[in-house]
Amino acid sequence: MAENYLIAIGGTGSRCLEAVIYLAAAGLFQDPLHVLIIDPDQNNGNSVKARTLVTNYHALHLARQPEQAEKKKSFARWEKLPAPSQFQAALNVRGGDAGGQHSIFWHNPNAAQRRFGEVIQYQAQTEELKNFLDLFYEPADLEMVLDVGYRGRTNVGAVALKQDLERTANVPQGGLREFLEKLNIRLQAEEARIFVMGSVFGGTGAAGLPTIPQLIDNLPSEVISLDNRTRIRYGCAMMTPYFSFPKGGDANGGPGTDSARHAVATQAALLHYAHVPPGYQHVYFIGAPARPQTNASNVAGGQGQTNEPHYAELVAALSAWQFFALPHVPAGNSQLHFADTVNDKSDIGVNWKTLPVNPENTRSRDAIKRGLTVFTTMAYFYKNFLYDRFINGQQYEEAGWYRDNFGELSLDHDIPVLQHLYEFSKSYLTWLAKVGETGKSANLRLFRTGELLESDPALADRHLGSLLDDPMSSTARLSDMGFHDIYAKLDKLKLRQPGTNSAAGLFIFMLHHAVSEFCQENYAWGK
Amino acid sequence: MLNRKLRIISLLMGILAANALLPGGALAQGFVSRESLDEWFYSRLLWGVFVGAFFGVFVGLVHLCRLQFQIDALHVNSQARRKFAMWSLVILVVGGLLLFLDAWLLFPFSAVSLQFGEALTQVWANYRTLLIIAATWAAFGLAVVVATRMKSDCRCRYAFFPGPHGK
Repeated sequence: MAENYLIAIGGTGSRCLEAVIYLAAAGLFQDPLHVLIIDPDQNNGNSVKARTLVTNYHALHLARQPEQAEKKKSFARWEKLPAPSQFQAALNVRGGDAGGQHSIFWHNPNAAQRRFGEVIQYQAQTEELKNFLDLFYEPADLEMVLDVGYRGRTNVGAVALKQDLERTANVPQGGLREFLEKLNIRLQAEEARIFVMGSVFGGTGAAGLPTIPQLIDNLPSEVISLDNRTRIRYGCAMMTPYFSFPKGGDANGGPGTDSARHAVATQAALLHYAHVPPGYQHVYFIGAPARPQTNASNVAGGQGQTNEPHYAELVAALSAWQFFALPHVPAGNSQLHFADTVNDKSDIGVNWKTLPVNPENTRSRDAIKRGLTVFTTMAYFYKNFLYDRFINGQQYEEAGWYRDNFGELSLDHDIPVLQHLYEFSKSYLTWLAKVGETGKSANLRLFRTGELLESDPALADRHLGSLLDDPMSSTARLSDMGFHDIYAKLDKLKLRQPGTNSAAGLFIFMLHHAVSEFCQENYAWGK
Repeated sequence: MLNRKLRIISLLMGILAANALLPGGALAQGFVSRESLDEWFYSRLLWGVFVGAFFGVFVGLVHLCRLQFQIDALHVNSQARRKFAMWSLVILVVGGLLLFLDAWLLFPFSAVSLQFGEALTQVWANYRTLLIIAATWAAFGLAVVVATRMKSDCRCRYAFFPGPHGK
């Protein structure tokens, strides 16, 4: 089984990682993923959110679903069901340790109050060198406290981040060492792909994107042998400006961030990359023409920097998906990927037809649509109709599907996993709804995002069958009693045997099957 | 709502009690012979059981097995039991009515048709009527239990007959 490596740099990288996790949950990623978030701003809101999400995901991944389930068809006939697809990609799973997980976060070893001047030991330099350094850094840069990252200063980040990463490449439990060890083991056997996601307009991302291939190239051969390095293939999602935030003051005790500078910063970064190519074989260049505000206030970093999601992050996740799915990545080959939403000279907006997927592969496009629709419907169904009754009254005990299939297994023992599923579902639906909000200006039409956060069960029942927003399925008979339609399918599902020792895994598998059948009929999808 | 239910139950109990007490008086008039009455009873008892069973299978498969899942519950067992009680009431009322119409208009007691009052007092108001209705209801109930339990994708398959229990 192939194993893929993903590095998310900075707040934007974490936002892209969030999208990757949702796609993995929906079944688009199947192979094990080793993830590392690199963010010197250890409490960045988006990074913390991504870490929480990974915890939820991991618990759901560990709930084993039946691999070779068969369902009763009629009398003594049994039909083989497809293998489980949701939550199947292992994230940072430690080999030989059931349930263990490597840290997904790079631990910044530095004191929170460290200033940039200390990083480059400015005071210890000769007067001549100081004068030289002054050409690159303003006094404010030298005095900048690095507690919340690099505040959009690429020239600061490029130096500090590279030094810190090099210093921690051998530090146990620091995240980076485990990542590299895992990579080295994989490279003994076969080629490995590393996909890096980050912005080119901010401080951390723009500094980190060109740093990663260089960092690995400069590692001592004990960490990754020279021969192994030739088997690494790099891809990256370069996020160009796609969001904005209000202009702020100097409240954070250092230079502030300003989204008005993003375009200029991008231009400068790209010019630099043009002169010094960062070493990626596949570069996915992602941005958005309109830049909606994704934060109500100007926050330089820390917990308050929790930007709302944007469809560009979904596109970044899809680019990772495509990169990992490429059949072959030649070493000396470099490709730049980009796409737009223009068709016959008119902008038709972001929809299922224009979502950037490998353009020749219409089957993949369909697989994405179906996978996300089933997962969205399932999350909506579970959150609005099942969770409360599962937790507050164990009402499943009387349900036919439970009595028929669970035998010695009991959901009572898996309540924490059910809670993780609820948290994950809620988080996903909120994310999707906000993607809809921030994508309004791009005429985004993927799901009926206004209905995703409906909490009135009666209204949710009516919306359940029409969450997908797809003009191609306009002829479909959209159910207005989705609860009954899905639950009836779940209720009549009888498996030959549970095929797992996890009650929650069995439940997720059965629910997924019922929802898949429902979506197939409801949206009139062909086989 | 509760008062209404109590009133209906009291009324039904009253009718049943009256039924049980009337036979001596009804037979005393002597218009309908005991043999004819027995003949009517056995004939209708068989029909009652047959119709009850048929109706039970029909109601079980067509109505109870297809009950709609409501958003406020994760099973239809309570709903199915409520519907079963409703159908039982229908069986009692319609069965009683049909038996009366049968005695009054259809069944030839010694080749004569009975008057309304005669049919009511001499035939219908008799413990035999109760037995026929009870047998019909029992056949109906049994058929519902078997039909709902045997149909594997019936939505109320464990509402009337015990099945596997969730842990």
